[in-house]
Amino acid sequence: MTEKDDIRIEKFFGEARRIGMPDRGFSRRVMRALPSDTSHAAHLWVTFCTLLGIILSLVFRVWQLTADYAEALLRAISAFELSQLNIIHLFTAAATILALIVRELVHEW
Amino acid sequence: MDTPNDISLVTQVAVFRNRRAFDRLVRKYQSSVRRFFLSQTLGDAQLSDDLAQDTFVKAYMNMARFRGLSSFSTWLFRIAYNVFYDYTRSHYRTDGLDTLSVSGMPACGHDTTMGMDIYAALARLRPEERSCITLQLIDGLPINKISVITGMPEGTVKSHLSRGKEKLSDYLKQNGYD
Repeated sequence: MTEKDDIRIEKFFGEARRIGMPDRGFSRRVMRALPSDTSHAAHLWVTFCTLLGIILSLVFRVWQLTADYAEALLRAISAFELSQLNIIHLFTAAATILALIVRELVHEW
Repeated sequence: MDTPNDISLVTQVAVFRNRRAFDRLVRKYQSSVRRFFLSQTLGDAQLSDDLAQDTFVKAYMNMARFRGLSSFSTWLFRIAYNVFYDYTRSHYRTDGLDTLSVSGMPACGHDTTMGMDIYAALARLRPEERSCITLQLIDGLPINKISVITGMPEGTVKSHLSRGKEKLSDYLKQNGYD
């Protein structure tokens, strides 16, 4: 192998080195092929908890309790006056909700 | 070499399973990984894309095992090399890697991006020589990284490179490349 041979080989592969492969939907195909992050056991656990929740709500007549609470809430809202509004509590709640939204957006990004 | 962006993306995938971050890694490295497989399969575009997809899926599943001892690209190429090694081992009895051939006429799904001459030249090499040669001459990797990717000692990599280049040199002379 001479220096000339090396240069010849380098030149031969030089163009291939510079070529970029166009994506042509490959990345999308890979993302579709990724396995789900939730395992089979997790799916079973969610199904079990959902069924348990439905059964308990039927046994303890949750819809009745919900209706009572909703009625009480509506009465409280109708009796509410703006003068009773606590601005500190309002800001605390707004800041908490805003922080949760930002956290979710950052996580998504 | 890894950029801080790579490290950030890898962390997001490993810790939060952030698919958007992984998508950015796929878009960044798809070209080099697919080109590597095209060289190994002598231009079989369909097979190359299948193997490249397998590589990225394995990388995603094992991202938490990436310790950062090497760069992300080296780690990814090591997975790609192993994917190809497993593929050739499982298909050796029926097809045989050495029987991969480059016909004069591009078959359906045969890549012509890099030129048929390159595949014809690479077809003269043994699989190990082909891997070392393409990693050095096309992907521009140094011998120590090729050693990490292939799992061969540096001396063995040098031997494969030397033998491969001799064969390539003969091919180029015979075909009038001056």
